[in-house]
Amino acid sequence: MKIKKLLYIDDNKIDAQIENLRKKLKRQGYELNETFLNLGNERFKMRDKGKTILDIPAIRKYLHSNLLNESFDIVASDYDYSDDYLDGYSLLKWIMNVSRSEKLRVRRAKFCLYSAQQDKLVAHLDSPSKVKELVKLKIDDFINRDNLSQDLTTILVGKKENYVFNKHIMEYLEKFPEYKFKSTYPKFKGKQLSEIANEIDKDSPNGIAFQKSLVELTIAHLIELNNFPKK
Amino acid sequence: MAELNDLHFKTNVQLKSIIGKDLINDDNIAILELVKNSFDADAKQVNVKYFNLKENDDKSVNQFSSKTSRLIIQDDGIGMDIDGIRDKWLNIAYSEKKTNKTQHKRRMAGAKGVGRFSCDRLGEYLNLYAKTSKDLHYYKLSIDWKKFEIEDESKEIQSIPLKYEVLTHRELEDLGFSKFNHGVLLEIIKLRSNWAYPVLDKNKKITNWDISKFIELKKYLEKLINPNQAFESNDFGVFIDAPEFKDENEALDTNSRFIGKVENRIFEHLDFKTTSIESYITNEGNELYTELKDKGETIFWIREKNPFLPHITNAKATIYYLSPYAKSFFTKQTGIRSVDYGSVFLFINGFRVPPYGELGNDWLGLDQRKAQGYSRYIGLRELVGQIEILDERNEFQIVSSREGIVKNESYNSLTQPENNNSFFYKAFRRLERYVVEGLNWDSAPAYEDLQKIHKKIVSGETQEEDLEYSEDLITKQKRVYATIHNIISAKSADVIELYINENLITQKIAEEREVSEREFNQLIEDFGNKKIDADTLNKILHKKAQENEELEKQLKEFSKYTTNEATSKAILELQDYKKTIEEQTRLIQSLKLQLKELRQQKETAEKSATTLKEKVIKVESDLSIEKEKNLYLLSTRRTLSPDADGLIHTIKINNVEIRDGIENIIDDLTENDYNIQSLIKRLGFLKICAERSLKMAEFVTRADLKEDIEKKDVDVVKYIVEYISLYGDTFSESLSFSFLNNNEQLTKNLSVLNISIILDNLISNAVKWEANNIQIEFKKINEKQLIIYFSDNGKGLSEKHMENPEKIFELSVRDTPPSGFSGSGIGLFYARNLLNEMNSDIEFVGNGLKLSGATFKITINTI
Repeated sequence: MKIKKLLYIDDNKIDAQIENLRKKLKRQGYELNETFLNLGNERFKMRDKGKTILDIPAIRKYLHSNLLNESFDIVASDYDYSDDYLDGYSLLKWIMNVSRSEKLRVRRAKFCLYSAQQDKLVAHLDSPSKVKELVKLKIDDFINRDNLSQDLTTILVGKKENYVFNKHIMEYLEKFPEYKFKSTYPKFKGKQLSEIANEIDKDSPNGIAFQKSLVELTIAHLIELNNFPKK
Repeated sequence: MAELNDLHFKTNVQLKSIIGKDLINDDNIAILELVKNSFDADAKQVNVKYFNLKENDDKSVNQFSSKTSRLIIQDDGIGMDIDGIRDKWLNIAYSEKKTNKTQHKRRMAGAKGVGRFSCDRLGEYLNLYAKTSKDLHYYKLSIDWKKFEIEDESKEIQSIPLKYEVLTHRELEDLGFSKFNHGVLLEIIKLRSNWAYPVLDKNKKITNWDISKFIELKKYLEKLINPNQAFESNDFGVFIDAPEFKDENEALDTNSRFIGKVENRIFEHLDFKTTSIESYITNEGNELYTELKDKGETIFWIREKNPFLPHITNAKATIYYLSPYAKSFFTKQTGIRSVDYGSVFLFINGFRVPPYGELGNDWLGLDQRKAQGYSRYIGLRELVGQIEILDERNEFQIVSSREGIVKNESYNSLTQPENNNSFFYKAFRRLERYVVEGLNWDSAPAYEDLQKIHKKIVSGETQEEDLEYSEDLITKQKRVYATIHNIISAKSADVIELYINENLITQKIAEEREVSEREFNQLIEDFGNKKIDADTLNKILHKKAQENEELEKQLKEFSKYTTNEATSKAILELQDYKKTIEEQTRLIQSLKLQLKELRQQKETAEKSATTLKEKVIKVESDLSIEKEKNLYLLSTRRTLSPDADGLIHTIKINNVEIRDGIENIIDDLTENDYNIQSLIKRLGFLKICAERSLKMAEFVTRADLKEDIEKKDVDVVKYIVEYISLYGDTFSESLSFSFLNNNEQLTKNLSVLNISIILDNLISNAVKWEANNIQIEFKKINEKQLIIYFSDNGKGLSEKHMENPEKIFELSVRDTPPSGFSGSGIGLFYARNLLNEMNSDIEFVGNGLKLSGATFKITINTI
């Protein structure tokens, strides 16, 4: 069964909804692997002038160290954390910017915002610059909380995904991460497959060159294979 | 038919007097004529010397002696030989000058050929000594004028013999003269006039000599020569000497001293600033150039076609207007009053034509004119100047009395005042207009004591820069500018080129522009501040229109002429300025329109405001009717009022969980994919959610709903006390609570709903196990930790659980209390669950520890 990895960020527990999502996905032939960043947890809180607020650096640190380099299929966040300084929009923004600039794996995920009160976010976007910011961010969806499980399912399952060559290679290589590469591409000789997968993931020059070489080699090989002498 | 016979003129001997002493009635003129003759003879020097004036034998001697008064006029010209004397000097009315226009590089001065008879005027006897450079000897001609003064009708002038001698150097010297190489020496003996008068005291003793005649002669001779025209300044000099009067001469002030070279100082230049006009013919007689200057600056110049052809072909007029101050400066420079100096002189071919311009002479009719309009015309007293004519064709003929010239057409072209159609008047009128209309006479302030100032100027105490005028320069310039075309008064057809001082033009613009700009900016500001009304705008527009019109007029005037480059540039500036005015006008007009619009807008706005007001009143009344109808279907609000924000948020989340949770269960049951334990857990969870909803409903009326119920910073102790005080007795009527150390304090951010539910749970359990007293003890461990001992006086935990009390926190573990009504077994499970979620915990500590029943220990941690 194919796995769909979800990271959801909320200050409330929404177990039933997640369970609901799991069932829906299951019906579609997917297994849900969810990670919950619970902002209600006290480790993410701090006191400021007698008030309890979210500890933004702590949250970011946690994300960066533990979650951002994972290959989530989707990252969903509540918009309203009941906090004066942080909301889901700005947190997602941060995640997206950091992961893109540092080429962390989570950058390939889909990003969604959900809210019980979508009006509130709309009110927040009160200037052209803010709308522009939103558009540039390329968030994939903005979901009404009431419909969370259904909408997330649609996104996760959604339209037929385009086949992404390098993603496939990466995933395949990661199935045998410990194996070492022997030859035909000298630059990677002696490297573990997981390392090579990493190069591909990072779109490094070597990673790209490797993929190209692979294609050429394979096609050459296929032509060669077809060149059987007649019996 | 009668025969034509010959008759002849007879030249009676009386002719001598007619053309001599009777004709020349002025000693100065006589000397002037003789000096002219010397000049024409190419003399470099003429000496006019007087002898034997103080003491002489004129009255007693029969003819003359060495003691007789004498006047020696000696020159170093080319001289004469005997032929010259005979054929020329003695030839009455013969003038070489008629045949030779120029002689010896000089324009010939004396024209009539009668200058020689001046000698008759001056003295009774004449000895003429002449020598040319070719001759070794001198010729002496002696004339006794009395010999010609006989009444005899038959005696002809040429019948009187005149003796002459030939002298050697020695013989000349013996006579008391120094030898000379060439020239003519006129010894005029027994002077007819008294050149000096003794001043007698009451004892008839001579105390002093009145030598004013000498001074006069000197001043007269000064004026005779126009250094500009005739020759290089050092080329010809007239020297006066009267050895007897050396002391008297020394006693005079420098200006008056007569012994020495006669200098023409007047028209070298007036070195103080005056208003003057200069006009001369150029371009071989075809052009007339006129330039008006004021205090050193050119006001305008103009080149026109010479309208005075063919009579005036080579003339120049220089005329100075003397303001009251200028007169004083004149005196300072020359030593005489301008009035005494004279007015406008006439020079022909380098020599002055008397009596024109002398004191009392009004040959140009100026004073006559002034009488007709005292404040409009300039008179003699305010003018000095000269007209110089180079007369090659003898158009101007000196009258034989040597007083003025013949009043022929040329004379008229020079001087006639009618229509200002003469060389002099054309120029003079421009000057006059400038002074009168432009400068308004350039007068001193009314309060000035002119006499005092005059003294100060003459002494040198007051300089030019100290002078004050009744009007400032700008005012005068403005008026000049305004009247400039009138002043110039030229027919455009005649104008070849015109230059008007660009400063006049730009000055006018500069100041006006500054003012205009300031006014304009003020206007804009006022308009911005809404201090302007339509009337003011109209006034300003009108003013601008006037300015524009005036500029238009001026530009039109200027456009008539071909102007000099500098002037043209200034005119361009003027045009620019005009454009600025036009633009300003346009702007002001647009402002006016704006103002109008604004006013209209204001009116419209006011009207619609009134209409709206009426509408609003109507709508309000309508609305109150509608309101009652549509209580249930209020239009969607964009945002909820902040009050209910937190609440709605929690309700939604909570109930979505309920909904989805139930959906999940149904799903599982439908698919037969369930286990009991999990179902119980999930249903328990749903119960909690429902309880939270109920709790919320209770809180709606009490809590501050702006804040999130789920994340409230509360003092845990205070909250628990408060909660229990409010709700504690809903569980049972007989239940009482007590608190220990409830002055402890721990702030934590938590869900008050959840805390409430936990408390509910614990209280309900205690009641189930027959407690009627609950004790809650608070113990603060440290800043971040609080222990709460929840004890009751019920039956306590049953035996079977005492072994492993932890089990009671598991799901669906329950005990049947004495009352028989057990719970669902999920209470403590969720109590712990909820506490864990808020970083806290609960455990069973024992029975009978505080009170007789169970004691639970709740540990609350905070950040």
